[in-house]
Amino acid sequence: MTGSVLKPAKENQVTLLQYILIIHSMQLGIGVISLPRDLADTGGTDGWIALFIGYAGSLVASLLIVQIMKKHPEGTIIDLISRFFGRWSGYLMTAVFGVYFSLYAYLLLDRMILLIHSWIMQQSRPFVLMLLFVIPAYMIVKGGWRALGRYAEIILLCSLWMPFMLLTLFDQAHWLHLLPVLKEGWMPVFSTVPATVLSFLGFEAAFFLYPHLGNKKKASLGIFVANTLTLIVYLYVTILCFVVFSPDEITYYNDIMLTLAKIIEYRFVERFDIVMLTFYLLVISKTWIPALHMTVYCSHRLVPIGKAATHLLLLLIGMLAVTYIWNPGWLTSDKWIALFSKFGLLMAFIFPVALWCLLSVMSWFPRWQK
Amino acid sequence: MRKKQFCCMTVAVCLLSLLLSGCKDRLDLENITLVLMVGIDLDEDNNLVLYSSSPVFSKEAKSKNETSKVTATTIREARGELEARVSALISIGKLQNVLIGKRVLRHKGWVQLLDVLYRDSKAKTNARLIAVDGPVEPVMYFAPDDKRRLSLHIAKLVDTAHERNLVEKSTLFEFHRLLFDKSITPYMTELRLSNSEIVLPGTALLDNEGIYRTSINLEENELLQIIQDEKLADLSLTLVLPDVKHEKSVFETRAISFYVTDVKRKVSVGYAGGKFIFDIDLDLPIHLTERLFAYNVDKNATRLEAMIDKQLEQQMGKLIAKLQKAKVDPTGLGLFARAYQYAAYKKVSDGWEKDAFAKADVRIRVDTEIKDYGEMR
Repeated sequence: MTGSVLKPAKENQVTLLQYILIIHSMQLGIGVISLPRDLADTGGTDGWIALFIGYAGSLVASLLIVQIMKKHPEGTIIDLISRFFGRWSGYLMTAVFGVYFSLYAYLLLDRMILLIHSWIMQQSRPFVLMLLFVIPAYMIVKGGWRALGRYAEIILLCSLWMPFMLLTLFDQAHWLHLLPVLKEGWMPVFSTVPATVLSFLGFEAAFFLYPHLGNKKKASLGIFVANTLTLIVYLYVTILCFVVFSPDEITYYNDIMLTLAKIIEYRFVERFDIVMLTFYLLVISKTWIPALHMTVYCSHRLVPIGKAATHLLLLLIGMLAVTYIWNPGWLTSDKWIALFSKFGLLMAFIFPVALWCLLSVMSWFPRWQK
Repeated sequence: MRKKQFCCMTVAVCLLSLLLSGCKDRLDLENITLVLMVGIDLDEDNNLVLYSSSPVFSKEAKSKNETSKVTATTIREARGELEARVSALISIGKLQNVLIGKRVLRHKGWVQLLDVLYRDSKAKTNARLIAVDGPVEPVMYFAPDDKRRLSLHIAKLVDTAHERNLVEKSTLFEFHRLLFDKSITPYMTELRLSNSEIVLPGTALLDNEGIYRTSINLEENELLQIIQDEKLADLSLTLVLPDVKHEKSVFETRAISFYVTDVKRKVSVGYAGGKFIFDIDLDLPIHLTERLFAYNVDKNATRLEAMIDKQLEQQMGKLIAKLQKAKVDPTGLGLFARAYQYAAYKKVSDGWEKDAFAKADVRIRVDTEIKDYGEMR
């Protein structure tokens, strides 16, 4: 029951695999369920091409993050900013990151609850459902990065069967849907890029995870593998949806992956979407649980009163209270996630690029060369 | 310290488990009436009539099925009416068949009625859509002695007949795709109650808005599935070859039957003079199973193949002409037009079956090859 959240890096190191999986799992969450629909919305059947552009963008940003962190390998982004720009800039960034990750955690958790609410338990109250997830989340976050890493490993093993299950759907595939490639030219593809860029959000966790990585030489490789894994998953589900659903109907479905899982049927189990969703909830949980951890890290840096676990407890109770009072529906959730993704664009893409430029310029001056 | 922690945890878990009663979705199996079949029809005054058929598991009940009939404006509204009639609470999670009367299929906007089955995540989208030739009521109340529960019997019948390529099958999911895709028109299995027997006479073809256009019979359906390249299990065709010598008799002795063991389809799409031109090459390896006339296949296989090719080409040509006349396109050729002639397709995509398919030039060339002619010479 100690504040293990704040244990020094040496005692809470993660392996390369855990590092990859934590970053990959922060990217892969609720996005998958509606991603193919969102891509088809603006890009038609060529939406999948935009994934590569989004991937390239996120890869550049990720590698810049690693480059930035190399300048102060023993600390998180907060330590780095305090060192280069002074204590007060450090406080400011802590607050910004704290708000960012608390929104990240809350909006994704809430979206997950909405999914359960509309697919499985339509009559139960959302905050009751949320309560059930808050307890395991508390226990995992308390264990620090290493527990998060192990959790990511276990969930990976638990969810490996899912892509294979979806393979059976390829016998309903109509590959002609994908032709002709670039039927309307490049414009629809480019207008889809923002949607794909945002679905790669999550790699900014490297700002906080980097100091905990044991073998720092592999950090760039790790973040490359994590992004690539995410791309492969996205590409797989997108192509699958594009060939199974008609290009004219695909935009009518909301949770398109679940609709797709609904048609998988065996003699011994019908309604496979429920089984699929239940397991997928574990995958979704990997997106917001690390975000909780980073929120608490930031809040504890800002207000170093009490144990980190107390901060976590207060945060979770706060989330429950918000859900109890506010009780956002799908429309509200959509609106907030759209707003949040603008914030995400700022924090995960613009911020690292700007910071990297700034640090590169600063490193010309002898004072910062070390 | 450890003990205290353990105690705290236990108390917390016990307290939290009290909250589980807050989950209001609990539903006991005894309190569910599983609707396996839904019927939708219009009465003489065009009021919407809905039927539900569900199994009864009580030992005291003499009949194994309960069927109810209500009038309502929508399917979801009918649920309330039905729940006031059937033994327990309605659940459509196990829905097998949706029977729709042809009277319904002739009215615009009927597809909107199905909305609840797509929107409600608890509905099952693998339920089969079936068009009923004639009124739906006698089918819903039909209880044959020599069959199992009618809803399951119909489900099996449709599945197996489709497996043998005799009828098309549309699940709710598949129907949605066919309906919304502009390059193909929807179809569904047809069903008829004749002489106290459930019969599947073929497939009902609908237009882009789901309005009934025409029907095709079992043989035509087999040909359609060859053209679609969607041969499933055994596909057996019987042809009468007019070029074979024939002695007058009550029996038709010019008949020949064979399995089509595989379908190799090549489609090329051209566009010229405002018309789509489809060249469909079908390579069909066949396996003779029945021949009612004397013929030396050993020596003259090519001639027999040519006769079969000609006959098949003729029949397929007739089928295409029938589809073009009815302005429906269940063939899926529109998908090829979209994929290979996108510029031309885009102009006509909103009325594909009327403006393009109906006028298209569809040339079918069949090339059968006798791979096996059975155990007799």
